Formats: sequence, C-alpha cells, structure tokens
Amino acid sequence: MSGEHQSPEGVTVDERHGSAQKKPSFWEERFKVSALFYPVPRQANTLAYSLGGTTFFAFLVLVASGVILAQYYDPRLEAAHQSIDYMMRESSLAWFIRGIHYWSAQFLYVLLLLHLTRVLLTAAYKRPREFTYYFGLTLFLLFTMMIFTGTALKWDQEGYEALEHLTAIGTFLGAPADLFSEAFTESTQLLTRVYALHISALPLLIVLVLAGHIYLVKALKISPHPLLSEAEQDHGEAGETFGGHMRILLKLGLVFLTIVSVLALFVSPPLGPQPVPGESGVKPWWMFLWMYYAENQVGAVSAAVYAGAAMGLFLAVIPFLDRGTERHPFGRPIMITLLLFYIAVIAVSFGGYFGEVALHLQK
Amino acid sequence: MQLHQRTMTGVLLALAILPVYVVSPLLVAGPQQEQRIEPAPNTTLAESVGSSTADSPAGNTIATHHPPGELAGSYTLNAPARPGFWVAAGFTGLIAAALIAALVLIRPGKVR
Repeated sequence: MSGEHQSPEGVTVDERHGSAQKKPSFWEERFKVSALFYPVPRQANTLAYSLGGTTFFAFLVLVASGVILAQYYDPRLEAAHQSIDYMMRESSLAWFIRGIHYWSAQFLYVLLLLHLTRVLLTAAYKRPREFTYYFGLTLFLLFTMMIFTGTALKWDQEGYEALEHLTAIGTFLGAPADLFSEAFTESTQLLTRVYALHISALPLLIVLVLAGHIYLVKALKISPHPLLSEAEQDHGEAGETFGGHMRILLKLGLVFLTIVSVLALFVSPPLGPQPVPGESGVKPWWMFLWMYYAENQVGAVSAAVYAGAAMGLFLAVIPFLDRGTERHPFGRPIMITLLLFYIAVIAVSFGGYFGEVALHLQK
Repeated sequence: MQLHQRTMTGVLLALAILPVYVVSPLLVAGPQQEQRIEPAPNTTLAESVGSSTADSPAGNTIATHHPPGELAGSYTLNAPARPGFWVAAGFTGLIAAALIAALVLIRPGKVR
C-alpha cells in the first residue's frame, strides 16, 4: 500500500491526504493497541527494570511446559520415577520439554534474585510501595516452594530426601503443617499431594499474588530513579512508553527461551536412580545450599526452618528500617547491612556446596 | 512494517521452519514404544522405596541408614536417548530466528 505507513501505536497514516487523516489499522481498530503506548519514566525501559517482566515470561514458559509434562508424569510413589525415566529415554520430545521446565526454573530463580537485588538497590520498597514489595516477597516464597516441591517429584534420592525434609519440617512446625505429614490422610500418598500442591494450589496462589503485584506497579507507577533528584526525574517526557516496555520484554523473553532451549537440547536435567530408604545427605539445589549449610552446622532440620524464617524476617523489616527519603545506594546506611547479608548468604552457600555431607533428618 | 521488513521476517521464519518439516520426519519416524508403567496398589512412602530397591540400578539393599555421601555421588543418569532431537533442534532454531527477527525489526516504541 504505497503512500501509507504505520506509526508505533499501530495507526496507519495516509500520507497522500496529509497528516490530519488517519485510518486505524486492523489491530488498532479491534484491540486499541495504542492504549498500551502511554508514557513511562525513562528508567522503566532499561534492562534492570525489565527483570520482573522477564520473570513473568519465565513463569509462563514453566506453566506451558508443566502442562505438557503433566501428561506424562505419574505422581504415585511406585510409578513416579519410572514415568520420568520414560520421558527421558523413550518418549519423543518429553525429555526436551522437561529440560525446558528444569532450566526455566533455574533461570527464573536467578531472575527473581536479580529483580530483588534491583529493588533493594534502588529503594523501590519505600513508601508508598511497601505492599508492592511484600507482594513480591510473597512471590519469592511461593516460587521457592514451587522449586522445592518440584525437586521432590522426580523421586530419585534427591527427591526422596526433599520429601523427607518436608515431612520433618512439618513435624517440627506441628499442627499447622500437618498437611505435609504422611499421617494426614491414608487415602492419598504424600508425593501425590505434593504434586497436587505443585500444579494447582501454588500456581494459583502465584497468579493471585502476581495480579496484586502488577496492579500495584501500575497504580503506583515505577519507583523514582535513585540517582536523580526529584526535579530531575523523568515522568514520561523522554518519550518512553509501556508499549516500548512490552517490546523489550518480548526480546528478553525470546533471549530467555533461546537460552533454555539450547540448554535443554544439550544438557539434560539430572535424574538419579530410584531412591533407597534412609538418608544419604544428598545436597540440594543451589538455592537451598545456605539452608543446607545451616542444617549441617546445627545437625538438625530445624536449623533450615530458623534460617529461612530469619531470612524472611530480615527482608520483611527492610521497609521499616529504611524509612527516609534518600534513595541513592551510597546514601543509605542499610546498604552496608545488605551488602554484608549478600556476602554472608553467598559464602554460606559455597560452604554448603563444598562442605562435607552431614545427616540431620534423624534429629 | 515496511515491505522489505516483511520479506525479511518471512525469509527468516521460512529458514527456521524448513529444517523442522523437511528433516525431522526422517529422523524421528518409528512407532512409539508402549509405556512400561504397571498399575500398582496404593503404597506408603516407605513401602514404595523398599519395594523399588530390588529393581534399583545400583542394586542397593534396604537399609535405614547410609554413610554420608554414599548416595550423593550417584547422580548421573544414563545418557538419555533424546528421541526427536532434530525436532527439538528445529524448535530451538525457530526461537533463535524469532529472536534475531525481533532484535532487527522491532523498534523501541517511543512516543512521537
């Protein structure tokens, strides 16, 4: 169609009749895509501020691949491991989907950590965005639970001991956590119930909390740039739009999918042999190593509960500890505490990775 | 989107899709094997683990305790056969092509 071109907002402009006459494009007329191109602050369209959206994309990949895996997986104790072995060796492409699921979970957690780090660095938790932050922390907890329950499902020694830990933690916590004990019901196996949690309750909770998180990000807008004064803040004058943000997310999402696809193609997720009863001290995934280290030091599962609670409490009180108006990372004393906190968690995780295996389920 | 951009998108997508449809049927052809899972009565965690050890690749005997790290090192799955590898490779190529197309064709989307 000579003489016509599209604006970024999807409006077809007919140059032959001057700029005054605009004919809406197919998509604009039906979906009003131009509504997405509202102004946003300049920092919104940078990589650092796109980590949350990319995490959401990773979640969508996990849901899609998880739905396919559910067609293959058998959550009964006597069949779980065999069904995954079938996926990995006999079924066409299920090994690839499992690889995408596994690597997406790994990268989702990395993206979550980077997103949280950005929020802490830029003081995005400050008034009036405290609840945006708390919704985010809840998502962090829910995704951690998703990964933990996911590791149990493969039902090798690592999965077996993950489930044993879940039971031990349930026993330690008492009545509220009885749901995770084998004795809760005799009609359904614990692994099957954990599977139900993994594919229904937890994803549903994630969607609900995510809706609240996204609503607050939209309603309260992106937090101010931490390095600029109030007068220097961009409120959309730079021309950046939410539509532009969506385009960045699409590109980052494709980068994400390309990386996990290549990894899924060549590096299969680990699957050990069928589990044997008793504890061997199999080390957990990297995101749980700091808790594993705590367990090793104390020699009891309760240490992991206390360590997790301490971590959650520390992250939760940050908005109370840092209530001033200063947003510059170097202008906030809490950044020193945060830096020490990060160093400690990383060091302890390395301690868990390189340290000797110890048993703690019996205590 | 201008004409040359559309053409470029089409060419990139065609390049990505072609290997999937041309090559993959030749490589993944063959009947699917029947799943080996046998229905079994409902068992508890301990019963299941106990009954599974007889078939365990490691041939472990049932015990209540293992020396630290004894089983930790057994984390190597037999190399997966990867049936349908080239279909998966084609999918990966398609995603990579879509990424390249997105990087080349999608503009920032600023207000004018």
